[in-house]
Amino acid sequence: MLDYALSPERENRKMSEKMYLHPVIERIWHWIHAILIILLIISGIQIHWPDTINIFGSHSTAITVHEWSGIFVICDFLLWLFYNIISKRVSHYIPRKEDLYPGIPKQARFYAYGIFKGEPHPYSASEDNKFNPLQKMAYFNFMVFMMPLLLISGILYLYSSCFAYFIAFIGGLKVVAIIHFIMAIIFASFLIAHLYLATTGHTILGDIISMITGYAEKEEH
Amino acid sequence: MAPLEPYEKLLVDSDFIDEDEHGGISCETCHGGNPEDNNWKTAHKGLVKDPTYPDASTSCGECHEEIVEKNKASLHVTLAPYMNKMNMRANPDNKVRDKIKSAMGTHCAQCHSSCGQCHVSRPTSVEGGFIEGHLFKKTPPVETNCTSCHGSRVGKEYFGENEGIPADVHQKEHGMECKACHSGDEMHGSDQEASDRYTVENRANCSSCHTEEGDNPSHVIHKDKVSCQVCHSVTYKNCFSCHVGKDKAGNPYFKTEPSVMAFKIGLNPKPTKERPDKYVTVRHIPIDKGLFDFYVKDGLTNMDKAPTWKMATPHNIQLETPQNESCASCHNNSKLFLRKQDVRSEEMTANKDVIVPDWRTLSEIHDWLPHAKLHMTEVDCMTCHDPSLKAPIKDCKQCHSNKSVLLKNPAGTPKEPMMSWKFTNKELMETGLYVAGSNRIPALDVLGILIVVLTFAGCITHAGLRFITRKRK
Repeated sequence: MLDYALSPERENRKMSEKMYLHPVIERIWHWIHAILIILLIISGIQIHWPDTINIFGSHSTAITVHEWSGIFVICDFLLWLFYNIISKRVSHYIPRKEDLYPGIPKQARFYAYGIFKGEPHPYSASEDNKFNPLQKMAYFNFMVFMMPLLLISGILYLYSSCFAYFIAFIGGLKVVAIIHFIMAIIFASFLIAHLYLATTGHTILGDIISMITGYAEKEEH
Repeated sequence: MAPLEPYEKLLVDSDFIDEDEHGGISCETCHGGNPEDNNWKTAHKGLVKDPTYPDASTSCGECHEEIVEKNKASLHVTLAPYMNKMNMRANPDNKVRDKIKSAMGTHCAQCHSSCGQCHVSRPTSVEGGFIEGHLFKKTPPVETNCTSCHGSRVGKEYFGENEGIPADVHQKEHGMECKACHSGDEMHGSDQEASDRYTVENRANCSSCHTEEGDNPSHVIHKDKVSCQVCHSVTYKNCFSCHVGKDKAGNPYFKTEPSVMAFKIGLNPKPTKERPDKYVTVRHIPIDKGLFDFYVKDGLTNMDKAPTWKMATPHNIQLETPQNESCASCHNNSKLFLRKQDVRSEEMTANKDVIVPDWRTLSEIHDWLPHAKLHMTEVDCMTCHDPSLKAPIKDCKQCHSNKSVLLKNPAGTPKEPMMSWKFTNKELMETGLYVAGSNRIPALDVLGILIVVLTFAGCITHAGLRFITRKRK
């Protein structure tokens, strides 16, 4: 069933000029994850500055939204990890040697210079390698290091009385709060950059549409 | 109270002779007259309708000497509250006072009671008549003898007869009658004369039954500061004016303005050791400057000497009331209090010791707090005003520190750790211990906002440059 869901052949028969880049499971996961992260950011803003920001009506509602969104993101992250390991699609996220050099400098140069000159994308997505080197590095770091750090700090916060001794060991709830806040800022910034970079595909809406339909244009170099 | 047929008022039941302990006492022993005389006119000479008023020494006192002796000081007999207050308000001119005294004898003094008017017949003020064929009632019936006089205010309150106002919880839930609180001992007075019912030595008292303060912090906080009724009574009747009018036949009669249902908390004008409360419920009493105009002009020239909004104990006690719903429902609700604007201009001086002066709102009182609005909405009042603390919390570090008072029970023992699978935040919110924004670091906040803003600005700039250079593509 997993193979069926991931199989690009069915649709490719009709649309040979396009490639099936994002299987339906990944797309569903992506959008659920997006909604949850946005909810977490918005509710987190109200919880952190309750005296100036009121989006959810009351402080306790914001906390409830944040807590439950957090729980769902934990589940959704574990599902993502499980799915990618089982399906071996985790390889999309692991940077290879050539990605580090010359991949990253090349991609960075494109964003900093080439994009304004109308140069073609240095790397184009394929079924076997759907992310460019910078994407790979960013997603790898976010999903392997930062997301766990964000979630663990969130869990410690969520059950701070249960983990009281551990929290005391690492320096108290303040340390947890600082880590959680820094991660939240990084994720909020990442969300902005991610949304913007999604417009730097072949067309402005190309990447966004591909994350809805699953299909992306093939680019010839 | 159902009216009596004429025969019911005066027909002595045979059961009185056969069954009542007093039935063996001959009529003339108490009522006088001469049963040996065959002439009805002379036989009834010296006969008294109520041999127990004003002095029951030669009737009831023959057997119940101690009670009768004490009863002489009973407010039901002395009417001290009326008399004292009228004396205070009356014109000092002796001629005027004599006329007032006469008027009071005709009107006010009719509202008294006696042994007979409680235990044998209905009170004279409600036209008398036997309770039950001259049978003696050890406990006077509520309807015919208590609320027949104390009916329009106390009775209606207690039995929930005021529209929209529930009956007193003691009646509604427990079916308690007057005697449950107002014992015979209290009714029969004490050795000491009292000036009003609040100075009666053996008066009814909530604390006689409700002895335990328990764990309710509200009781601890408000003890000796507010009377029980301030928190536990609801809207009650207030009367304005009590004129003596004149009917077509020229007979004087009581004429009052319609009563007003209201609930007002005022200052206790004379706190005593027994009643130290600063705040008490106050009721406007039926008094008016022109009360004795029918008898004498300018009778009550000293109206300023006593409040017309008088300390009251409304008999409509409820466990839950609008004002005890939360701290703010009383402390932030000026409508509950007797303010200047509630008092008639001519009564302002009389009530100066009862009127609650203007005070600052809760927000104004707490404006010194950092993040005042946040603390006010998210922190339970009791967190800072915990009665177990020596004084309300004012130092931030008392909460925001490793040695936070929030981590300890009132006795100083550590609080039970919350080890359930419930979210800690949720649990803290429910127990009122949540300290919103407590882990905020302002510098980090600024840095975080800056990072997000710069990211956004970077994207906008990048997008702008893309737009400008689009023709080259």
